[in-house]
Parts: sequence; C-alpha cells; structure tokens
Amino acid sequence: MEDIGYWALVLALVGSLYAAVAAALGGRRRFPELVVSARNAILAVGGLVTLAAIALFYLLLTKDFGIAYVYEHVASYQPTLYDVSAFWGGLEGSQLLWLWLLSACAAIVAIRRPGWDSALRPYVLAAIAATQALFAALLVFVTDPFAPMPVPRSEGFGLNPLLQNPFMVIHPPIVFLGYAAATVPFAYAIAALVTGRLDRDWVRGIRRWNLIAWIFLGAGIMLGGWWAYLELGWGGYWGWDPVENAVAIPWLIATAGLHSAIVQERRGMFKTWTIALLVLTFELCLLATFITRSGVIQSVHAFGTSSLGYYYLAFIVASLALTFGLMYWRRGQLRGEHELDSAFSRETGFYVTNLLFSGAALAVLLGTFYPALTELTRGVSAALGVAFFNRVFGPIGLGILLVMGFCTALGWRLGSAKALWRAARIPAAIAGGAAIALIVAGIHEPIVLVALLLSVFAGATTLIEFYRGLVARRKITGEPVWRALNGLLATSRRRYGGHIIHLAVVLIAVGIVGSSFYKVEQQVVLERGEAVTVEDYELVYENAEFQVTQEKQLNAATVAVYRQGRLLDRLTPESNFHWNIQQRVSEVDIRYSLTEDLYVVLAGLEDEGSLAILQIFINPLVNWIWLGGALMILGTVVAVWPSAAERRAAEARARAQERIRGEVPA
Amino acid sequence: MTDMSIASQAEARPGPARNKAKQTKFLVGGLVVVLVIGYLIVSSMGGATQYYLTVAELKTQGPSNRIVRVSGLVDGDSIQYDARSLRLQFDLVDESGRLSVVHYDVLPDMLRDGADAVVEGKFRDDGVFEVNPNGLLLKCPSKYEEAATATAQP
Repeated sequence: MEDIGYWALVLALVGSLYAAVAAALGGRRRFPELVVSARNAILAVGGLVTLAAIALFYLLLTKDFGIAYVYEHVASYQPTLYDVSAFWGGLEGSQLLWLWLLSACAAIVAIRRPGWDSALRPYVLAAIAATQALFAALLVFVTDPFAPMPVPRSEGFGLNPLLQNPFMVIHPPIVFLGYAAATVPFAYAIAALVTGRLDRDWVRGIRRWNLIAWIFLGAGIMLGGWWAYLELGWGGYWGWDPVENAVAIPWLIATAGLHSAIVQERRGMFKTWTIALLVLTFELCLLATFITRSGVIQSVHAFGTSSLGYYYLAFIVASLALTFGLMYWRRGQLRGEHELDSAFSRETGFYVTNLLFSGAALAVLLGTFYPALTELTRGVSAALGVAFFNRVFGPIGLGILLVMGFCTALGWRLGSAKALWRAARIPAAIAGGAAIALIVAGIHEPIVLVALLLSVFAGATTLIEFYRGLVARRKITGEPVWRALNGLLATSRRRYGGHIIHLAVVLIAVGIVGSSFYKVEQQVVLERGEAVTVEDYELVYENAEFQVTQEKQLNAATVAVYRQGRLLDRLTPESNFHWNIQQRVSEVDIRYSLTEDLYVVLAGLEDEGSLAILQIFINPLVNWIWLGGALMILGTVVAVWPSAAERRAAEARARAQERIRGEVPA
Repeated sequence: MTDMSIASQAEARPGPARNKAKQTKFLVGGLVVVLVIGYLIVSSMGGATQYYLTVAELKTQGPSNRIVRVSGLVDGDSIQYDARSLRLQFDLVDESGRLSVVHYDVLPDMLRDGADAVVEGKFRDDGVFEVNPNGLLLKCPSKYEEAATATAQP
C-alpha cells in the first residue's frame, strides 16, 4: 500500500508539472488542445492524490507500524477517530492534506465548462498546477509520509494527547481548506494580469472562492481559539502566539480583499488593491505554513525544525516577484475607472477599511517576525510581548467598528455630512443610550465604554437596515414578518449576508471586550470538603478519583458549585498523566452560560487527594465569541448561496448551450 | 437610506482640475490613516520590546527592573514546587550558565526535565529571576519521540 501511495505522489508531481507547462504554453500559443490536455492532467492529479490519501488512511486505520508516520501517530489502544485525525496530526500528513484539498479545488475549477473565464482559464490552470507541483515535490523529496520505519515495531507511539480533542480533529482540515481555496483567487489574479483582462468580470467570477477561503480561515481561527480555551487550561482563547498569528495574518488580508473586491466589482476602482490583497492572502497562507514548519519563530507549538520552510520561502519569493512584475507591466490597466468622489461615501469607508485591515495584518506580521528581524539586522534577539499586540489592536479594532457602523449607513459614490447624519442619528442615539445605561450599571473604564458604544452603534445601523428593508417589503407584499424576512434574504443575499456577518462581528467584539476586561482568576488549595467563594459562586472540593488505564493515569477532582446556597452543578476537572509523552495533561471542566463561564482547572492533587489545587476562572461573555462565529458562518452561507435570479440565469445558459450543441453537431 | 444600485456608467465626471485637488485630499487622508497606524505600531513597540538574553549576559548586566526573556532547558532535579503557597522554583540552563527561576503559579503540565522553556520576567536583586504572570513558555512539540524519556507502557 505504501508503494502505491508513494508512486501515486511521484506521478502526481509529473502530472502537475506537465499541466503547468502545457496550460501556459497552450494559452500563449492559442492551442486549445494543449489546454484541454492540461485540464485532464489536473483531473488525473486529483485522482492520484486521492489514491495517495486513501493509501495513508488505509495504513493508519490498519495500524501498520512498519510505516514511520503511522508509528509516530497511532497506537493500538487509540480510538479510531484519532487514527483518522492522525492523518493531519503530523507534518507529512498535513502536507498531503494541503495537496489533497488543493487538488480538489483544482478539479472543481478544471471540470467546469469555461464561461466568462475562457480567456483566463489556461493561466488559472497553470498557476494552480504549479502550486500543486510544489507540494507534490515536497512530499516526494522531503516529507514522504510513506517512509518505512528503520526497525519495525509492534506498538505505535500514538497521537499527541493535546491533539486528541474533537476540535483538533476538524481544525486542521478547515484551515487547510481555507488555504487551498485561497489558491484559486491567486491563480485568477495571475491569469487576469497575464491576459490583461483586469475589468470587473474576474473579480465577480471569483467572489464565492474569496468568501469560502475567508470563512474557512476565520472558522479555523475560531476553532483554534476554542480548542486552546478547552484544552490548554489557561483560561484564555488567544495569546498572540506565532501559530495563532500565522492564520490571523492571511485572514485579516483576506477580509480587506473581500471589501476591496466589492468596490472593484461595483465601481471598477481599487484594482491594484484587490489584486495585491488577493495574491497576498495566498502568499501569507504559504507563510503561515512556513512559520509553523521552519522553526524560525519561537512558539509554544513547535512542529520541529525542518528544511521544508525554505522551499516555501523560495516559492513565496518567486511568485511574489512574478506578481509584482506583472502588476508593473499592466500598471496602465490597473488604473481605476472612477475616483473617490465624496468623503462621505461607501467607497471612502472601504478605502479606510483596506488601510485598517492591512495595517493590522502588518502589525501582527511585524510582531511575529520581530525576533527574526532583530536577529538579522542587529544581531540581538528581541521579542514583542503581548502588550504590543493589545496596544496596537485595541485602537485599530475600535476604528474598524466605527467604520463598520458608518459604512452601513452610507450610500455609494456621493454623500454628504447631512445625509450621513440623517442615517446615523437614530443608531447614534441608541448607542448613546446604551452607554449611559452601562455607566449606570457600573462600567466606568473609558476604553470599554467606547468599545461597547461603537459596537452598539454598528449593531444598530445594521439592524435598522433590516428593519427598513422589512418595512419597505411588507408595504408592497403585505407578507407576515417572518415570510418578509425570508423574502428579503432571498432577493438580496449578498447584502443581507454581509449585514449578518457584521452583526456577528459585533457579537464577537462584545465577547472579546467582556472576557478581556472582566476576567476573574483565582488559584486555591482546598482540603477535601473545604469551600471557597469566587464572586458569587461557592465551590466545594468534594472528592478525588484515581484510575490507571493503558493510556494514562487518570486523576479527577469533583467540585460542587453553589450559588446562593443552591447547587448549580458538579464539575470534574482532570489532570491526567499520559504514559506515551510522560507528561501531565489537564482536562478543564466548564459551566457554560450566556453571561459567563465558570472554568475550573485541576492543577494537582496532593496527599492522595486530601488536597486539591485548583485554578478558577470566571470568563464573562466568552460564549458570545463562539455564537458570533456561528452567525458569521450563517451570514457567509446566505451570501454564497445562489440567488433565484442567478439560478435562472444559469439554467438559461445551460439551455442555450444545449441548443447550440443540438444545432451544430461536433 | 443607502443606495446599493450600481452607479451608472454614464455618470458625469467632474472637471480634471477639481478632480485632482480632490484626489490629493483623499491621498492625504489615507496617508493620515497610515501615519496613525504607523505611529501606533512604533509607539507600542517601545514598552513591549523584550530582549532575549543568555544566562551569562543577564548576570553580567545585573539586577534590573527591565523585562527580558531568557531561554534554556529545565533542570528536572532542581524543580521545587510548594502546592500550598503555589511557589514554583527551578533552574534554567543554557550553554552559558545556570539561572534560578521563581514563578508564583501552579505547576505547568509541560514543566519537566529537559523541557525547552522561555521565561519572561525580571532579574531580582537577590539573584533570582522572577517570571511574570503567564510569562513561562514551554514548548509542546507535536513530535514527542525525542522528548519522551520512557517508552509507552505495554
């Protein structure tokens, strides 16, 4: 099976190299047969990579410890779910996953009948195939997942217990799907530059790919944070660690890219911005893989040093040079069809959005690479602490909320301060009222007040948009509210999908503010039966449980939670010793609620359980972040779903094609 | 009320002179945003920069209130942990020497002999390095084979 997998990858490498060359040549020489053969090669590569993936799954599930990768990530006593996720539990497998998902995206692009993009298609295929070739080459020459064990073993090492969590089963595929989807806009950007077709069509055509890449990156970040919250046991979800930053940087740029693309599509402006942002999103996805794989950056999650990173760096540099060279060559066509007309227009808002998100991405990039940069330039190594990120991000985040609130209230092109005031006064009044209510309720920190004021303002302008749309629709149709809302979403999916995403951002912002400014943390040592009061909770350490299994020594504590004398819950945090890694791994227990989480970590049991060391956190509003994440996905689904008009157009096109083929026999 | 309709292609263009002045205005506006973000980044770097020092460099510089980072390996035999007072002390070793480190926190899961650690904190007058809250960074390699000292239990 390992031979089948390996040779499938070798053939995939050959096939993708051929496809890249054939597609580019076919496009250049106007030789459609060559392009068709490149397309077929890409489909074949998709099949070969799938075969390699099946081979690896087979080896993992049959627990073939003769293969090094299987030995390192599978153990005989491990549940099947984690045998499956072992596929992406290590370096070699995650490379294969990247290539597999990329090949799936490539096949989707290749299989569709060329339509609006028939001129671009050869170069799109060439760029995607070149990226596939990079990964196939790395898998064949550097990180072969099918390499045998030097000495066969009868038992495997097993997957890292920290990764044995349902979140870590789905987190890597989601992030990699984001990376893979981001390759398609990159390929179209290159193709648009090569062919000089830099109008609005290509941006309109790849809108769905942009959104899909963006939401998968965002969902990946969200799940990563959630995993850290549940598994790492420090009571937080985000620590500005390089591995977290690595995914945040392309996501921030992708967010700017989405907004920029809307302006290009509607007004033919911001062409340079859009191309640069879409290409950078992809390059930064590669950089993210580089950060986690090279050992250049100190991180709590090092994946082991590997020369792999430098291949990525070489590819990034080469493709960036190509992009900027092409952009310089096509600089004439990159000029906007219009210019900014009014300071009070939506375009201006998008312009500021581009600047804010790019600035934020630059700050994270700088903070992440600072140690490497100082080492290189000054010979000393210095890092930027968490304080740096928080100080930069606070004001930028407030700026983003402000622009989001105003932008929703603004119209395209021409606007005036007067019109803005007319649109913004009601939400401004609501936000002002909310701020006064918060002050009365006892919140006095200025930053928190400003952040919540802006959140309420942005939320109110968005909700008013829904309200106005509903009222207008009901005036015409007289439908009941629920039907009218449904109809509203169905007729302008893009607009209301965007609005839903903005509401999600407001929820997330409130969650971040609540959990960062009002977190309570306490460490206690309790005797059996002893109680401690934290805020208005009373926690009683009741007893301990010990158990030895093949996998670990289980140590659990039972903690009863009371509020005002009433038993709310019993929490059982664990602190288990895993034999394979010879290390303690904490399993936290959480009492969830919409207002706050009670989060209990067992830091140790002393004297056979007569003494429990507990860390108790109260994390306000954390669940708003996860709810916001879910709403963000919902909004994206609404925006991506084909509208009735689009479906009708697609059907009409299909019928027309059918007719043409009927009349002109091939 | 917003107007989402695509602006008509035939819209009247303002005169070139007026246009130029306007574009300059927008360019200046954009530049202001860029400068503000730039200032934000540079000014935030000041207090947040933490130099990586070796143990020998730290000892030469002597006690200070400056927050610095030191990386090294944890000496397992030196780990002392008082669960009641939540005081953790251990030695951090690098090529240049040995540093006594104190951390007022619970015992982290990954603290053990040979663990790769980065500590963030300050060098106290008594020659002990006091780690900031949340200032102890321990590496969790996704490959554990080299790190694990014992083999899996049968």
